[in-house]
Amino acid sequence: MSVIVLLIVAGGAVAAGFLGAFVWAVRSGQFDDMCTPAVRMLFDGGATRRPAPAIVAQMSATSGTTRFAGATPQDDEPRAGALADGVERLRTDVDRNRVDVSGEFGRCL
Amino acid sequence: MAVAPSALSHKADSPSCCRHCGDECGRGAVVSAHGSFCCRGCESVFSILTSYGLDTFYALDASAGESQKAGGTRDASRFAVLDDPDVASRLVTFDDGSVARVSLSIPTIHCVSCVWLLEQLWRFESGVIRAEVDLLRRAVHVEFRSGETTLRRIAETIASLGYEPVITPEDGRLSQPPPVRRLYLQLGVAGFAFGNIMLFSIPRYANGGPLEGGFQQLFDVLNLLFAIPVLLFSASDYFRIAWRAIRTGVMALEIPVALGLAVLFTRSIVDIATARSEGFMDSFAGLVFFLLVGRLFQQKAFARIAFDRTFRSFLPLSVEIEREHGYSSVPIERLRSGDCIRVRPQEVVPADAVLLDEAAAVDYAFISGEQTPVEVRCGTTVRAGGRVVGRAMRLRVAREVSHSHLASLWSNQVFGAPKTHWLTGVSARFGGWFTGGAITLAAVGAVAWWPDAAQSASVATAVLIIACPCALTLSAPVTLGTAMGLLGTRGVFLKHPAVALDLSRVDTIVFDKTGTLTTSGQGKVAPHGLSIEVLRLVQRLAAESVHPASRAIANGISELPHAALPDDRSVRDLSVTDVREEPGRGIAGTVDGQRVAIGTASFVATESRARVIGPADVTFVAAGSETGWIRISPAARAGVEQAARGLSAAHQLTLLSGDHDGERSRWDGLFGRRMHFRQTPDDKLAFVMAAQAEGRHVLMIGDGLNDAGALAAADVGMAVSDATACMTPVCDVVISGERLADLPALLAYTRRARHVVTICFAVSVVYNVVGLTLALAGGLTPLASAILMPTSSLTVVGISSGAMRWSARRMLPA
Repeated sequence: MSVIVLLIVAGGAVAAGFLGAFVWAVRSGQFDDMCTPAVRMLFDGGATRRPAPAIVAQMSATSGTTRFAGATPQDDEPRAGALADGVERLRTDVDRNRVDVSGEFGRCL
Repeated sequence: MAVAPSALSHKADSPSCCRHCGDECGRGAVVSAHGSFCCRGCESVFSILTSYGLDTFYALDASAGESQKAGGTRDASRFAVLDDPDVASRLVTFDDGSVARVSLSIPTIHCVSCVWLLEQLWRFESGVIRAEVDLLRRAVHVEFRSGETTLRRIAETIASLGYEPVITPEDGRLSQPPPVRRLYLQLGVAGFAFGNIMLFSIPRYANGGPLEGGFQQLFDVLNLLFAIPVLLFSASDYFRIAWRAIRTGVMALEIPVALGLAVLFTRSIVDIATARSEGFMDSFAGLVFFLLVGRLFQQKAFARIAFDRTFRSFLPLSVEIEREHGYSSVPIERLRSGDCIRVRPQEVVPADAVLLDEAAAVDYAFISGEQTPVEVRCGTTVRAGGRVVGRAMRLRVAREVSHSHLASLWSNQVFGAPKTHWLTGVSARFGGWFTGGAITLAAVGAVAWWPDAAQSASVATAVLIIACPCALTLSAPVTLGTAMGLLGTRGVFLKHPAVALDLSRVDTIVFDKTGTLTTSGQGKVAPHGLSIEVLRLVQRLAAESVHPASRAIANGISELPHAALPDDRSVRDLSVTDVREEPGRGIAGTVDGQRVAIGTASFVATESRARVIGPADVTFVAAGSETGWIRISPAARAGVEQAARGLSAAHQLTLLSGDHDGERSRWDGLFGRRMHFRQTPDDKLAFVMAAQAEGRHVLMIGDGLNDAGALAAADVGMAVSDATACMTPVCDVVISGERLADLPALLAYTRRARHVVTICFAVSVVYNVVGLTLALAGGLTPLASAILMPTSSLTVVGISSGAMRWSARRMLPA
């Protein structure tokens, strides 16, 4: 029967681990806004943060889908194609999710 | 532009809709390579977005753009105040010298696209590291490098995207973590302990007796260990509130709750220590857990709505003051009478001041709810709270900010004392009886079992444990909290769940007129001395302006029941040239070759060089050789008259208006003799207080600051808000304008909520009677308590939230 003691210790440790994770999540603000993240996850690729400089250089060299502040806005054919594709994909995503999104909003706002 | 227009999904495909905001393009339309736009502002936002490759904005939501028509009147340097370190420090939440964080309130955030676009801020402004939108609070949190950009530039960039940040003294609250965090933690700890204690208690219950081999002792000690954080952390608020109530000599429902919890915990420790029983730790943790769940229902505050505005929230943070060498910006607290200030268009005059310019226009919408700007002349006093229209104005401060007419409204004591809810009083009385009753019963039990000291103590504590009014404490917050949440999704926002009960007791309803019963920008027009041909020209010219009176004229003429009126299309095709609009005075232009002027008598007289005569409250018109006038009677909100008629059976309705009594006959049928015109804010306040002195429960419905006193004094103050960005005065309920017609259903729903609370009270009293019988008979074992207490809590939560949801579907319009 002494194996139960072992189980209790193991079970308690797991439970305490989850409690710790929950405490961390609350204190780091993950429960502050229960609304916007649900909407944000639907965006395809729109980074909300400025990428580190190295990544910026790499991205502007390889992919044409992003343009950064400071870049002169002017026509650029290969980029236009990639961007149009991205917009199209995002639009279908959003169309598919529109009902859900507005439902989410009704709850939040 | 980088993307072929065909790749964009946008509702404004037809050329007459603005590509940015989707509004119809009038004659002021701007046609560029990107398509057509209703105004210059929309065009510039669109071209900024496309030039950065951010067209996705339009793909996310069909009506993504915010109309920028008002933008043209805003001053470009209006964010200069953010360069003031005093002001900036109120908004910046964190600054380590290189990286800073700021939270800005943006009331126009309304959809998925808004979130997306604002979070792309780093693409527009080079110093920005990250921007995060909080939809709930309608705010954006921006992290930026303070060396590379400034607060002012960030605000300007956001504004140039079409989202006007609103800077008020309350913005500090955006940076605080919401108070609900602590509740989540308390709930998490209590839930964790509850689950684990159950795990260690069930073996004993299943075994039918103490476990062998030392396990019972081990489990009991473990339970005790788990229960300690529940007592010290999760339940701490109940003890603190109860202690404060005892010290101040006030009764509260928390006192019997805290007493029950304390007895429960102490008795369990004693039982475990003496090995008398396994203790009540499972009941204890479960009780705290359910109590906290009830609190969670109550904390559903509408974070984006500020209910407690003072007059300061309506005023700017700083103002430009004239010095020997130009202007400098000072916080308005430092204004002294005699100072010369300059107030720019769309800004609010911070203190009562005398106009130094020849003429200007002021809109007192904040104060009176009346949106039509008023013309002021040199030497006239402009009252604090008036918003400048058209041109910037120079003023000499007459009274300091704290002595202005606006501030004196707030000095009334009704703003000082917090409103007491009916529920607070009732539950305090109830708590009193409950505590008294429980202690008496415990004493009776103790005496009845007396010779047996151990049993006597056990019965007495059992009574105190079971009498803990947990289910009672839960029923009101869960019912009312659910009701509050459901009303919120229907455009009715309560400040506190207890307001629902106050609403259910209302028997007198006082309406403000302008902005509450009527809306501006719509209405019936009655022309006088004008031919159909001229009316066409007037309609066409009025369509050029965004002024509420012009909008009302343009809409009103098109709705005139006259067979000879031409259809809208032919009116729209008339050519308009040479338009000149003077804010607060009128508009003139050449329509179809004829010179037309609409506006005040003096404006029309100067424009047309004709003599115009007519009543004082009308808009004058001159076209060619014809002169005449138009009377606009504002339209009642759709459905409001019918709603009021429905309410008049069970409620006493009164109309209080700051206006003249020109519309008396119109409201006669609804209010009869209960109409009072030319009411000052103090008159309104006095009226409400007089009604309350007669024992009436008053619901005041108003919109402007002129209702502020009455709203604060009434049992329930309900502020009508037409735009989400609209500033509402101190109130208990904010209702969106189009929901006002649902008022009878709302009041019925709150009465239902009261019945549900009563039913839950009855149910929990039944559980208490059963429990008390058991306790007095000496039969309250830990198992009985572990079953009885959660069951009663769950029943109450189930009944109250279920009934409110079901009723909302049946009673409230979607």
